[in-house]
Amino acid sequence: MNSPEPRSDSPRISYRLAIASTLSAGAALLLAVVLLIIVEFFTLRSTLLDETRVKAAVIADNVSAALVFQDAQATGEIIRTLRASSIVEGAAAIDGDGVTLASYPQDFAIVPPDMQRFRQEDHQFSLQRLEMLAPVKHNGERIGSLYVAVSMSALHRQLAVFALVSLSIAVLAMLVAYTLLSRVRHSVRQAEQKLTHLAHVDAVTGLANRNAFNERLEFAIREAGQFQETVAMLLLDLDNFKQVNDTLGHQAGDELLRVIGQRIVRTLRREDFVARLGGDEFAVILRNVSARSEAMQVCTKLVDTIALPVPIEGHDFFVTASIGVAFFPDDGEDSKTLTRNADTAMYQAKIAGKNAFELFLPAMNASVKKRVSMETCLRGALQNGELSLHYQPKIDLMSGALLGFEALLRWKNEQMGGMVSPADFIPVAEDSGLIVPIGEWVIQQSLADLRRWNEGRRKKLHIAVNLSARQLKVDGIARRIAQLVAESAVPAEWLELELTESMVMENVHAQIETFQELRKFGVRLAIDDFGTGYSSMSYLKRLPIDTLKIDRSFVNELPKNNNDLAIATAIVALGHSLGLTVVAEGIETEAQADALLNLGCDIGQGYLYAKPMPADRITQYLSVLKLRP
Amino acid sequence: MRSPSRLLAAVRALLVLATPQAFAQAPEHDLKAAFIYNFIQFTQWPDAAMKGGTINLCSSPGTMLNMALQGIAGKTAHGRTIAIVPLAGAAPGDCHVVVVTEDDRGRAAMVRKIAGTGAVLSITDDPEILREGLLIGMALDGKRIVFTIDNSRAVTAGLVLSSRLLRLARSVQ
Repeated sequence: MNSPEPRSDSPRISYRLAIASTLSAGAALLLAVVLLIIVEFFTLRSTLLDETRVKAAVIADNVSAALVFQDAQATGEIIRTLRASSIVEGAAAIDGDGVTLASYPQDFAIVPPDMQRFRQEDHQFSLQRLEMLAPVKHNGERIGSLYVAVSMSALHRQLAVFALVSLSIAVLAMLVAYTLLSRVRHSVRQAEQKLTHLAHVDAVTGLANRNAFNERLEFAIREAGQFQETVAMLLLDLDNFKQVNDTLGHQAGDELLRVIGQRIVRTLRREDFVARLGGDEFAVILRNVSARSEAMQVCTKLVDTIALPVPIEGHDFFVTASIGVAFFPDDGEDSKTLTRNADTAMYQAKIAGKNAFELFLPAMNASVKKRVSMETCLRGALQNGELSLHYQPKIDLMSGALLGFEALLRWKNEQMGGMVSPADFIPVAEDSGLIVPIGEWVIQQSLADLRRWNEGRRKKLHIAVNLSARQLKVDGIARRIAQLVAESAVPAEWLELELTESMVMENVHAQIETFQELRKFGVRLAIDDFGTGYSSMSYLKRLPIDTLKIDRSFVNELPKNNNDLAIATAIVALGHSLGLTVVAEGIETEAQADALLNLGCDIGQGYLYAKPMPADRITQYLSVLKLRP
Repeated sequence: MRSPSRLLAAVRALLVLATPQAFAQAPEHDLKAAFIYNFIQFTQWPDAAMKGGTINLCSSPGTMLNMALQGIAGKTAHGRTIAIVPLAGAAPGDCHVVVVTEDDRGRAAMVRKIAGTGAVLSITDDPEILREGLLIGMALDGKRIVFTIDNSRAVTAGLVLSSRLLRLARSVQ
């Protein structure tokens, strides 16, 4: 399934290339050897000629007197000294009349030699022998000739040995060269393979990387186009990976990526393809998908498998994945469009609450566009004064007295069609990071308003402000908030920060210090939407919180829904047993208020008492309250 | 190969130009004359001994050998012409070569005097006169002419006989 390297060149071809280059080198070497042999032949022949000429000259000189005196015996003796040379086949002394005076050996077959052949040269080469006719001179006059025949067989033997040695050396050199060459070729190929590997494999997970993924996607699309098949492309992003990385360091983060990578691989079929594109982003190619439901099944399995706890350094970590799916050819005919649409679908899955998958729909592009333009507008919102705060009163259930307000952010933008729902723009603000300056503004503004309202009040009111997860990650957020409080010149305990249950529990040990610091400055802390997430009781005990807020979903059907009643009862009991104040939100009827009061809930908030109101209306509201007895 | 006729042919080849009449002479003396000419050719005289333009060969007239020697008169050796000079009229120092025969036994004292003075190549075919201290002695061995050389005397006399010649001698003293 995961073979990120593309098929390398056929080894047969490279083998043939090696053979061909070796053969051509061999041919060149053979030619060189042949030329060397020819040169050697002429060198040897010329040496033989010189030696024979010297020998003949010496004998001719010695024999001159014997020739003059016609002393055949002495002539024979002198000629016979040539016996010492093994290559001499025979010799003869011939007088001025061409008569052989003496020869060696006695029965030398080619004596008398054919003198006609020596007209111009003093020697004559044939295949078997070299014949030499040296003049015998006496007092400067030629008085006869000395004929010497030398065998060529020794020369031939020498030449054969030379050829054999040369060829052996050439063959040896070829072997050595071939060995070296193939070794070099081998290491080059290895280096190439390593480079290809590096270029196509993600070092952390061992999966294919973005590079390999792009190649594979192109290939899958081409193939599917030919066979009219469907390809599903899954883009998978881990939802809360950054927290693990930030908390435990990169090594643990890498380990997490490896585990997730293995889980993805195990979930898929052999022919599917997985790559890590970078960061916490993975991609999957499912080839030959018969139905959309098939891809959906795979996605369900992936979401479930990834959500299982990952044990790292003794702790269980929970990461979830958001998956976007796009199909070839329905959602895109090329890899670029396909990738972009899968990304859009993934984005949609994130918006929809993460830990889920979404199939791409053309409408998503519109929603993404809307989101992008919303972000653009939101950037200017603060400066343009488009943001405002609404305040919802919080009431003591027992006495009905006003205790404070929850500050709620509102955004009005003409371009976006007037009022924009916080459910729409808060996620955008969080994703873009705009929530940080906006959140600070909320604290400043609400504290300023509160200071005005508390002026001259005996029983001071407090204000609850929602803090987003994104804000909590800002370095030194506790000190920043303390500074804002100080700038507003109000006591810190007037401010209560509301954090959602899931936000607190998601990465509780990373944030516990921030909470403790905030608490030290005097700021109060509340857990919002309690009951919707998963709270660890042991953490709940250790966290420096003051308040629990029962989620409105448990309040809606009170007092009729027994389940909700049971949950509300349990939360109140839990809160009180931990010494916390319990707040119920979304109270709309007297019956709900009565039920909560009976359960012992301390504070209530909802339309029954008051809707959220802009600041000027609150001033009015307060003045009306004052008139009451 | 070593038949006498061939040998003769060779000798004739040497003498043919100089003495056409030598053909009529007894082959033995012609051969001896040819050998003497060759001896001269393989002998080197000290420069001091070679003053005139000729090589003087002293021999008693009237002998068969003397007649044969006429055949080499006028031939050149060492760039000089060979002249036949009567032995009787010669003074010590006149002769470069002395050839004596059996007929000169009576003039042993004179031969000794002329041959023993200076660089003189003395040659004889008479074993008796050879004993007087002559350098080269010729003899007949069957139909071949062989010779002996007294090289130590030659060296004393200041003559250099070619090693090639010495090689051909039957004995060298």
